[in-house]
Amino acid sequence: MMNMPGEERLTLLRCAGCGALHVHPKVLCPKCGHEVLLEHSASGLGNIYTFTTIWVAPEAFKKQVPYEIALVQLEEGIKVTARINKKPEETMQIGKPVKFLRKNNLGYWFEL
Amino acid sequence: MRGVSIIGIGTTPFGILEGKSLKEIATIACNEAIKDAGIEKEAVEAFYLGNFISGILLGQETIAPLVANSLGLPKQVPCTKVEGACCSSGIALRQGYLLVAAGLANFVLVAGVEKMTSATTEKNTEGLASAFDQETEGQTGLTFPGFFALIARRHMHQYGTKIEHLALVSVKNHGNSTANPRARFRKKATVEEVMASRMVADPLKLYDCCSISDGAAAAVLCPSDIAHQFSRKPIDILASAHTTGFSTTYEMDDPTILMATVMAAKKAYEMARLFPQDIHLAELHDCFTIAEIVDSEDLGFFEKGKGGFAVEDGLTQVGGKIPINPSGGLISKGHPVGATGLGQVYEIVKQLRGEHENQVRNAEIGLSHNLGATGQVCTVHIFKRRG
Repeated sequence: MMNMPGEERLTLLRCAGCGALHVHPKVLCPKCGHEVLLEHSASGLGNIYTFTTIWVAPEAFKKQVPYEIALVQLEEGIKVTARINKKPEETMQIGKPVKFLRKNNLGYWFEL
Repeated sequence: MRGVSIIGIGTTPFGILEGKSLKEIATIACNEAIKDAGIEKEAVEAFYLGNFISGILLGQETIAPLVANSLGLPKQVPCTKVEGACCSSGIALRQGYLLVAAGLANFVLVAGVEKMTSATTEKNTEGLASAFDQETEGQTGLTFPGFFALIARRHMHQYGTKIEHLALVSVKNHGNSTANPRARFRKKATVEEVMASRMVADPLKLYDCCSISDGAAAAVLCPSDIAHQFSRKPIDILASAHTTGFSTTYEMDDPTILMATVMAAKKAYEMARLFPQDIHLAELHDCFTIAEIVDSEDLGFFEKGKGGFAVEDGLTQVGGKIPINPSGGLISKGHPVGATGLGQVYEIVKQLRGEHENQVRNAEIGLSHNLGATGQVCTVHIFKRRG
């Protein structure tokens, strides 16, 4: 099914051998060595495991400062390092629920 | 396997070495180590040079033969650059150790070098960030202060570590380096100054971070059974361990534990037949204040979660239960990334020879811990003086 614009689904990979879930593309499952990894549609829901705001950035990210990065604990049990689309009035906190927004050249984005 | 000892050490100061090139500072440290060992440079049978980002920052690669030629090492000497981010010269030491221990060489020169201060902070941040997986985490704009900030927040959440505990690490290390002529910073810092410094990656501020520096350090290794012929105070390497951890933060079950350190420490203690409580001082990888706390736990000096409280109780000061970073550490002595591992070894050898400016009394056994990137690489070495 086609996704509506702005309604991207979070897709993970599930190892056909051991069932382990992975966030990013893998040549093989580092856990069991199986070479078949199948797409797995995730809920896109999770919570903040830990977070930071970057004030000193590498050259290519300098203009985006300050920006928020969090380790998101997904409902499926694995974590992903992601950018957080935070409105000025929102505050970051460990345990706060987040929702998958999109994936682009900066990786995964979640919102509070 | 043969026992391996250090018979010579050399270094430049760590800091802003204006007007001095990477090649020059590496040559100065190596030459000093060879002289300190009392050997002729013609005796050197192999050379390992640790370096991380000279390619990115200076456009200079193939630096092992470059430095060897500058030094005038014989042309038959194999010269190898080793890279493992901030653990590069820990690995150089490890490689030299293996060669001597295996009986393949008698005299091996190991060194580390980095030239950073001629580049901007952004360029350095970019260069250092090249140790992230660029296809995954690197895309997000995560930085190394950011990585350790993620750990700091989680550590505070899980164990009640306070922001003041982080500041106290910086205060201690700044205090330690006031006596160290090789340190970039020689001034004391207060908790208030640390807390008021500008934000780098929340909750880590400028004084929580190691400083970009230039520097080089070197050592000469030889078999333990002939070491006394060259040095009045040979330092024996009781253990050498090198491990691999996770390349990305999201793969770690609990990022408040860096598994590469835990495993390297376990291997090193087993090899030396020692326990954490037998160590008299440690130079460990305090790239950020939280890193010193995490490392001190992962090395077994304190229970997980208690590292910050140990700093508050003064246990890590010179004169405390386990003096940590009496040199000032990466935070205050400086962190020329590729040189840091052997810079730590330089400080420990001075301590065990009883010649350090911030001497730990009766120091007999020392430990060095060098960590690379996201804890992807780790080396732990244990050293002992004789008699």
